[in-house]
Amino acid sequence: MTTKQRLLKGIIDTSMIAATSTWLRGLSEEFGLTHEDLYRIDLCFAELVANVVNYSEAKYANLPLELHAVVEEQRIALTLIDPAQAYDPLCTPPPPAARTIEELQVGGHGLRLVREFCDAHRYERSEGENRIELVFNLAAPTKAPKRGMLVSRDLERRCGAAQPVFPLRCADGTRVEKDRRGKPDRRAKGYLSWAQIFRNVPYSALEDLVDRFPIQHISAVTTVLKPGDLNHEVLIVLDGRLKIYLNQPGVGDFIEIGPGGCVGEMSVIDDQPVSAFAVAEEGTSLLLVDAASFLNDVMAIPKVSRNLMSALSERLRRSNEHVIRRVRKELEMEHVQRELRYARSIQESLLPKEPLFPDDSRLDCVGRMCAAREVGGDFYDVFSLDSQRIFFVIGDVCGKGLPAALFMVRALAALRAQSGGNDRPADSTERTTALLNQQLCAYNDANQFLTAFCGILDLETLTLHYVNAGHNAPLLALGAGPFAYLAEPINPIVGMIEGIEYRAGEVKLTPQSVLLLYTDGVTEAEDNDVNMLGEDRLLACLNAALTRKAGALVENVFAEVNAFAGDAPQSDDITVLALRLAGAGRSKSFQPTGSA
Amino acid sequence: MKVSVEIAKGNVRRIVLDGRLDAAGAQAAEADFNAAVAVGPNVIVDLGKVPFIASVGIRLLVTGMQTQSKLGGKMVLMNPDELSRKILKTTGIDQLVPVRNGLEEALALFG
Repeated sequence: MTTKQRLLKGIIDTSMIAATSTWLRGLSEEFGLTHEDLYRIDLCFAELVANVVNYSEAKYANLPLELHAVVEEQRIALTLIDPAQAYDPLCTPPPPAARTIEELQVGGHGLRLVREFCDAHRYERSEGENRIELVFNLAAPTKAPKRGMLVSRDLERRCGAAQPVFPLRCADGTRVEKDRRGKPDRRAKGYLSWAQIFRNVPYSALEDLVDRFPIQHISAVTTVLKPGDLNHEVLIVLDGRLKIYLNQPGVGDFIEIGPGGCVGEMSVIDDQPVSAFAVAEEGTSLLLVDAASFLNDVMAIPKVSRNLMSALSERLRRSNEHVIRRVRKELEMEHVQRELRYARSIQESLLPKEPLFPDDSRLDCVGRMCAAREVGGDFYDVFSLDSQRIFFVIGDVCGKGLPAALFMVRALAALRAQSGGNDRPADSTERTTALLNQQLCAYNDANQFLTAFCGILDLETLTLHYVNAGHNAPLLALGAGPFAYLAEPINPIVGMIEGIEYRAGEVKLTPQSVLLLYTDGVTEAEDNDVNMLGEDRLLACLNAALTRKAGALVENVFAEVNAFAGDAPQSDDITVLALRLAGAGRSKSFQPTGSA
Repeated sequence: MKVSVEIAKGNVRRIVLDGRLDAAGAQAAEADFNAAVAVGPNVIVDLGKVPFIASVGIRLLVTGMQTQSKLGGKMVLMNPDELSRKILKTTGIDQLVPVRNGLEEALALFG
């Protein structure tokens, strides 16, 4: 039998695992595979598809995933094609042999099973796709699939093996002196009744007609039509198939025309050049009907015109459906994007509005947050507790995007709900953090957590009390002196473990002191070579600053990150908060010391 | 995928899995299977009605084996069909957990 090909088109999604299994079972029934062969194929592709679905990076979700099957008599070759990150599943080393139950690795067995159960495998990465081909030698030869098209019963058929007696007299009065058809051709043309275009047409109407037309047998893959060709023939597929490619023959999507279908009828009808590539595979037979005969004689048969119109209208309908699906998908995407942009603006409005403390000359304070995605998990807040004390906090929820944003909102709300109270500031910061921890540990099935640095700054005594809960050490410059990391004391992160007692630190500040807080999106910013900006570089950047105005320092940090990262995409949320005390006598100007 | 448990003999329980142990089946069985294994030591897992085992199924069985080990008990696999046996062999599981045909033979391992 000639090679048959089948194609399963799906998407990268968990549903594809079961869909693949079901499709393989259908293939098995169609071609008569043994139970054992089906099991092997089912198993191998259950593993490979699960691998793609479970380990593709998130950005590849819902992209197309295809499984091509090439069925021959004694073997079947299946190729899985996915557009995810480059990965050859079969070059992963198998898990080490375990000697005890404890040593046994829970996972990693799937790919070993694939290697064992297929007969050959090959991996290729081309044009941004992984292609993994598995070959199975079959225990029993495949049976040829049933021909899809059945002749309807009211068709006049040639029955029996009655040989024609020559000379014959035809309906139109002409005579046929001898049998014009060769044996294989006769058989091929006998199947013409199956052709879609000739459905319900009495064979007698076709018989005379088709003898006139040559049959082209394709022995090797051939491009029979290409765009721009002035086509003067309709090609009817008698056996095998034609693949119609819009862009490049042999590359990408194609439409299949099997036995009974035809191509070229459009350009013969409208006289326009051919618009696609038609590639015939080995073993295909094509009936070539020249334009004049097609238009005058073939189309003149009433049912033929009707069949042609239905075929064209069905093609149009399918094409419309395709377009509608694409448009719908795009609209959905747009809707989601719009919602995320809206969410971003809501999240931005949750953060304190600039300028902070415009009427308080004792403090110059600026903050800025830049989310890596539409929404993120970084936050900061600054507000007055009373006439001399302010509370500030900077925080970073683990992860990014929507889940982090949701946790961030909880944290902000919880912090703001706690009013300062009249406690000593040390107790207050410790209590605030402990309470935040308690609240975030609850209702936290997703086990999220955050790091935070919060503090109370007394603008009269210039004392700073602070709690560092797992967060990056901020940078502190006393007076006009150099910046240094304020590294102690350290406490655990917030939201995972209940009942933690947080320990506050205390620093006495001087006029013009600056405290600069940031999240790890700054120090862990990556360039194209995956180097990180790092704490040393951040320190150097701040010490090199020409002015210590809070706003300028914040801009400097963002500029440093941009300069370092270059065009590498922002991988994490970036937040900077700077607080600067006024000089002695409440002046805001900065006098550089010249040394330091 | 259905999971059912019965007492086989004495304190040895028999956990019967009915259905394919593919991605969907393993997920459906996970909670009940893990709970059944964790009840106490000594279980027989009956694979007679499992027509297909993928690596996720192996993962489920291995987790069960490790739980039993921690409980000081033993897990025996019973009645896998020929192809399932081959899978147990390829993944090396059959060297760490006994595989038997028939309930009598499986029970014999529990002394």
